[in-house]
Amino acid sequence: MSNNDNVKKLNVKSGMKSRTIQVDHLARVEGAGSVYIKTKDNKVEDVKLKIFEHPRFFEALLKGREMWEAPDITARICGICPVAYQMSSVHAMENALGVSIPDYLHQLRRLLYCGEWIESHTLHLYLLHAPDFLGFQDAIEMSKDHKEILQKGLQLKKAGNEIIHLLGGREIHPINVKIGGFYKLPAKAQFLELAEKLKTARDYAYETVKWVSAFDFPSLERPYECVALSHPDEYAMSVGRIASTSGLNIEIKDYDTHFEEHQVPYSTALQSIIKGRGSYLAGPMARYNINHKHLSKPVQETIKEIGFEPICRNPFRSIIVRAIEILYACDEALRIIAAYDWEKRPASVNVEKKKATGYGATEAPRGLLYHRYTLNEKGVIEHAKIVPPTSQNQKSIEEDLHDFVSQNMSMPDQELVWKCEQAIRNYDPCISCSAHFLKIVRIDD
Amino acid sequence: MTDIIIVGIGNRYRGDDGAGWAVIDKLIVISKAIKLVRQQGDIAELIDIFANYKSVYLVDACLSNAHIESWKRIDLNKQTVIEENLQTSTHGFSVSQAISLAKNLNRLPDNFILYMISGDNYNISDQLSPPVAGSVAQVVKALLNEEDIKACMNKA
Repeated sequence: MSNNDNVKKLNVKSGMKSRTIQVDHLARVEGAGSVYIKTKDNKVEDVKLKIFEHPRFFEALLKGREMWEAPDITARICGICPVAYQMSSVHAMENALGVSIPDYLHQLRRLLYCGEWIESHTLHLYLLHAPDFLGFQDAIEMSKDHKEILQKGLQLKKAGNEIIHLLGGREIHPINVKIGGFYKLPAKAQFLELAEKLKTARDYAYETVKWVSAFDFPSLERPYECVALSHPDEYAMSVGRIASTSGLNIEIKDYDTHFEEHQVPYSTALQSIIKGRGSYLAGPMARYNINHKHLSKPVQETIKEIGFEPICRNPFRSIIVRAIEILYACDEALRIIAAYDWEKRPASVNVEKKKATGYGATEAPRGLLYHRYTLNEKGVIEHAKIVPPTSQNQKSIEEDLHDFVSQNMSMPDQELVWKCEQAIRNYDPCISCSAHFLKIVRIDD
Repeated sequence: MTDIIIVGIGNRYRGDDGAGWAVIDKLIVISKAIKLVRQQGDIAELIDIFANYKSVYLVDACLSNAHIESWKRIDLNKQTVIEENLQTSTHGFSVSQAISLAKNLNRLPDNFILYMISGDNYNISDQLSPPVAGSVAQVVKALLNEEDIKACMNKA
């Protein structure tokens, strides 16, 4: 590990009985954030995950816009998970307007989501997170020694991109998603061509699971309350109820009754808690812990093959869960493409404007993404609320850091800082998404 | 099937970051002979392009400073481009990191040229600033004077 860059950006002061760790700019995460940890007398006194990414006021931006614009505007919140924003947006709008779409359109939305899970998880796993476990500063350094697997990883990401390009119109900020369905459906021949590439991608996804499951993982077990969508018949992506490993099981419209956000002075991103309970975990590990029995049979066999547990509470092993979800998404995409027989069917259903409030929640690669909109009788957005997964996970990240540092007080400074950054990267945080909102209170004297 | 590709990288709706795409818009006349692509900087797509074409021209905008003229031609097989602010695109992957990764993976083209246009305004806008619009015109002229591009157009 090269220490020069870390020394420039971190400040570790170690006294006789106290230690302060401050990393001013987190590396290999999307967006701008820093971390501050203070220990004294062998106890962790304070942990702060500081987000200083500029807020971008998307919720305010949506006010006064037409309902049709919401999927395209919210997609711009993120370049790596735009499908998630579009899905949560259209589901919330359809909920408001009483629109029900036929199963084949649900399947196509699921296929689009598979594309995003593949490309987002692969990007994070190969280029941001794997270097941590192999002792490399970054993927560029890693690429000198791991050429073959990295090339396969990039091809895997490209397969995810191609699903999004075919069904969404382009890889970044897709343009084919609308309230009620899609603008246009591709021809079957285009899907069959894609299927051939996905079969190879599936092989690479399997190799990815085997590769990451052999990494060494730091020890940390956390008693998370995991929160994710749950569905009786499938590994939930965009349809279901909100469930938790502590017994929560609610309709999406009841999200605000059970969850709340609040501002902390050191972060431009809001933090989320379950009312009366505190922090919770959203994301791949939460999904896996709640829904693993719905993974495809071949994926279940692979999980047995690598000896992975049905419940995972070590956040460092989340990289294995991401690899499992990439493999599942390949299987699911191939299943849906094999069933595709719908190019002559309507690409969308009819939608009528009305005054209403609607709720939507889908599983972005990083976790549950909640949208709520209030429309007037002209279909104009009067109010919008968006809660991304990274802001929901902020408290969990801080608690992970607290516990990890507490259990590793004797670790040398440089190694501890590295592991703390790795602990944050366990979440694949998308900081730009989390800093979409800032409430401004003006007091005139 | 052409071995030459010109890739405009950027975002049409972020002011001068649309310079790369604007160059591609103006080159559309040669699109039968040369492959033209508008890209938003996806690392996997870029590395694939580098590996699959013998001659790759990239056009991208950068933040200007006192040391950079209005535009610059860089031979990427001979020079290294280091970007100081690496948080320039989603998940912090810059074009220079894509190039470094491609180099380590032995996926570089034989001819690899970057046209870097100095921009100033990166706010939300679908307009280029006047100096950048001028640079776009000059870069288009320079590309049409590249030897392999001229030869390919003469054949077509």
